[in-house]
Amino acid sequence: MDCTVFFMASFLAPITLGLPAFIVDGRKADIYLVFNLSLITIIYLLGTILYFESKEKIVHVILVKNSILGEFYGLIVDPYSITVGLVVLSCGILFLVYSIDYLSKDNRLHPVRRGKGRFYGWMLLFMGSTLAFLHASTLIEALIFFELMSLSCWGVISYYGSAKDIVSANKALLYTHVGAVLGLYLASFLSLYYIGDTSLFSLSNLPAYAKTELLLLVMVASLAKSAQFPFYSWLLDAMVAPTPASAFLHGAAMIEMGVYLLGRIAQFINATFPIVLYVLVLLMVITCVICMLMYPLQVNAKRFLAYSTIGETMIMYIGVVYALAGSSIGLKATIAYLVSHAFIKGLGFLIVGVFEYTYGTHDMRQISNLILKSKLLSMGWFTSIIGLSGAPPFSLFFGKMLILASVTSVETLLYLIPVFAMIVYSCVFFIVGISWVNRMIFSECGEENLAVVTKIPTLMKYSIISLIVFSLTSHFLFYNMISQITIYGGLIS
Amino acid sequence: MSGMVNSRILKVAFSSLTVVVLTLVSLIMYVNNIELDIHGIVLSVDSISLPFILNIGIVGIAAIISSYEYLRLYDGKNIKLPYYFFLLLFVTSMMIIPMLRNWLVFIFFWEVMTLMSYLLVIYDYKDAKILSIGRNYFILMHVFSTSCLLLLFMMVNYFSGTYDFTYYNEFSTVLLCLGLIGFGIKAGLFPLHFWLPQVHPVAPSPISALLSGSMVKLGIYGLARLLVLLKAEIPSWFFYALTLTALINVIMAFIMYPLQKDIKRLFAWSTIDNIGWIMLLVAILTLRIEHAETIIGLYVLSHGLAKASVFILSGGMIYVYGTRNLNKVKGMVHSCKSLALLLVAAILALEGVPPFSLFLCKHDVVLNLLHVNMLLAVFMLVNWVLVFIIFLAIIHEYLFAEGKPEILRPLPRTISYTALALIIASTLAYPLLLMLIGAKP
Repeated sequence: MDCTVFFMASFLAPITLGLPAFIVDGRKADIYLVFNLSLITIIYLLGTILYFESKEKIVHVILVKNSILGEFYGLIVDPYSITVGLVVLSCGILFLVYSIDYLSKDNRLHPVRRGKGRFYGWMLLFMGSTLAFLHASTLIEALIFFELMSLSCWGVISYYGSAKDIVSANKALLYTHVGAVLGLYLASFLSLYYIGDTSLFSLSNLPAYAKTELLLLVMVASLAKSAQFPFYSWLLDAMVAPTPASAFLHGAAMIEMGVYLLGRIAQFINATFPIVLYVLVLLMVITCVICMLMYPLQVNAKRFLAYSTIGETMIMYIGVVYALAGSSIGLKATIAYLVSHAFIKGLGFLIVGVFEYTYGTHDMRQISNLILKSKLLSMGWFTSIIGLSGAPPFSLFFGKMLILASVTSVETLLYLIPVFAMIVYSCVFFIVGISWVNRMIFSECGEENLAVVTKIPTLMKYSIISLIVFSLTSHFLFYNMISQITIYGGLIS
Repeated sequence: MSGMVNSRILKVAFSSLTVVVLTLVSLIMYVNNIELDIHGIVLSVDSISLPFILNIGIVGIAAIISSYEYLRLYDGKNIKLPYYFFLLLFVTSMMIIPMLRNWLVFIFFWEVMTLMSYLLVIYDYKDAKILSIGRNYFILMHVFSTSCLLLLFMMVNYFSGTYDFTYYNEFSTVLLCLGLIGFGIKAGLFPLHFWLPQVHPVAPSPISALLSGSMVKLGIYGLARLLVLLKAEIPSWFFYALTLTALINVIMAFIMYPLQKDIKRLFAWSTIDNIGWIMLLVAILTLRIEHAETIIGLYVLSHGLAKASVFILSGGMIYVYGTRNLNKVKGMVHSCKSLALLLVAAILALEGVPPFSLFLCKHDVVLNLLHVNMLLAVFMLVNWVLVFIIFLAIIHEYLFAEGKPEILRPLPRTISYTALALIIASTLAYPLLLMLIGAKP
């Protein structure tokens, strides 16, 4: 049987079956969620197994095709999409399982008494549209799910429903939507205008000048989605979302999809781009400087992690930059970085979630002497901070090394600037991070919070443990798949 | 209570056994020329890496065993860090580093080593001062060592197309600079030496022994390995820079010795001094003089063992008298004779007095320097004698002085025996290692 059916089902299931979740609540919603999650997992894993057994490098089916829009709806399955798909799936499952215990009346910062189902519904929609976006084969299809993602992101950010939440949610929707309008709509139009098709496979047939225009347009959408320099402020406001949702949108889904989209285009477009490089490198340096200046000022753990997301995403773009400049391992580096980052960043957010749950705060100044209170929490926080700065034995280190290995030229300074930016950036993050680690985990000097740590609920504990394991091993788990990622160029059709 | 002690014995036994096995395996690998290939990670032992591995193995076992009683100092403090877990990871990662033949894996274990050393330095984390010193150490290592090495390996990979060790024919000045900073800071080379006297006093003494006896030497290893792989002409400025920094190390240590009142600071400066000596050897290595790498190995092993024994004995002093201040233990020989005599023996071993191996090593250094520069050789000879006189004065002023300091606890056997074993090993190191390296076909 063809594996594409399973992939279709894996994102159609959460999008359709997720809808009833909006009307159930409480225990029933939990059960319905677990049912949905297991269904998606089984379907997706079956599809993955079938794909690897078929030994085909890239599976492409066209579902809808007409003379006006060309290939309108299709599906691509290849190592690039499956790797990220598995990350989205495993992170999604872990974060949603965590949220079963997180969204409760015992939560000290945000007690939740009703409306759990609504959260699950949005999150399932989020997961489904992300999975669909990953396997999209045309620009129009990518655009549809791109917007659906933004919509579900709006849903989870505004979940708690205060005026501030709604403003933040609207802002997130506005930024990403404007990005989509300026970027993807125009890119699709461009593609249709020149070759009458928006299929990724046909992109290599574009005339050379149109390729540059298309890439610049897609870049706008990407940068807006992944909160890079001109569009970064929505991500900082988006931290009002429930923490498991923040973990998902920072770690696995929303932000990473911008990088994924640009990488996807780089995979198919079959050309190298000096102009795009200049623009990207400039934006990268600005992002890097902003993050470095902002780190020392942060006292709110979620805001601290949000700036870190912006910076780490900047590093992921470095791999894409090198891929666009012709490096064969640039994309591998990006995806390796994305995979490790997803788990480590998710871990960071889930730990902050526990702070909120037990201490009722995410102000880092109010937390101290963690090691005496909970070994698991201190281990998790240490792992995520040291891991995010790219120090071994945590997996992010390998992503960093791959990015270093993908440098295409050391003679011209332009190609070295991103690497310098990355190293300086991670040093600054490391310095600030280790100071917070010292203060929060080991030191007794903080303003001691009233709380005696109440017990961490079981599901939260187990998701944290599995994320710690993943952040140590993820590179090895995904190593085979990552090494199969290639740039297709114009070679296949 | 008895259960706790038993579990500690088990931990000590398990970790020392692991290290013993690793040491034996690497010896066998060396003698029989075995190359292990574990999923593409090649491990092998050659005559450059053997002394480093032996040094780390022996000092590691000594540190693990002497920690057994030393850790009682922290018993009442309710410390939650798993000491033996970190220690075992620290020693293992250090032992693997010289066996590796790939820069990517090298930096991975290098960083694991740094992380573990940080966690061990801040073992007594309830003291805010220790925490901040540990943090500064970690930041220093990450910013200078890691970043420089990452850039260095990126360049190496770019030029040769692989992270594996190969001979490099084209190499630029930038790369040598990066290597000098990245490895030099680990070794404690001027001007990046200042972390040593800060970190050593606050770390638990067995950890100081490992830091000073073994970890610092890996900086030397990295630099020596890089220079051996380099087939291109090494620019002469590199030789002058190395010699100059090495000399500054030696001179600064000479000036600082008489000012030290803290026994561990004193020996930290002695490490800086000896790193100067070894760096002179590395400078000689850049001139492609024969056997320079053998002498480096001999020096590293002899010095590592002697240095570990003095640090473990300083730990003994802290255990017995509860202080690091030398002024408070004047007349140690009258109250704890064994500790005082062991310390004298260890200091003599450290200062290169015959019959200890370090004498032969320093002798070799001076002999080799004679071929390079007469003045330099004479200077090092004079320095050697003067430093010996300073230490003799220290022995007389503190250990053999009048007075009888009060004993808090008796000297534990684990500390005295491991120190004694290290001193004996330091005596035998030179001939045995020479035999081992010479025996290789």
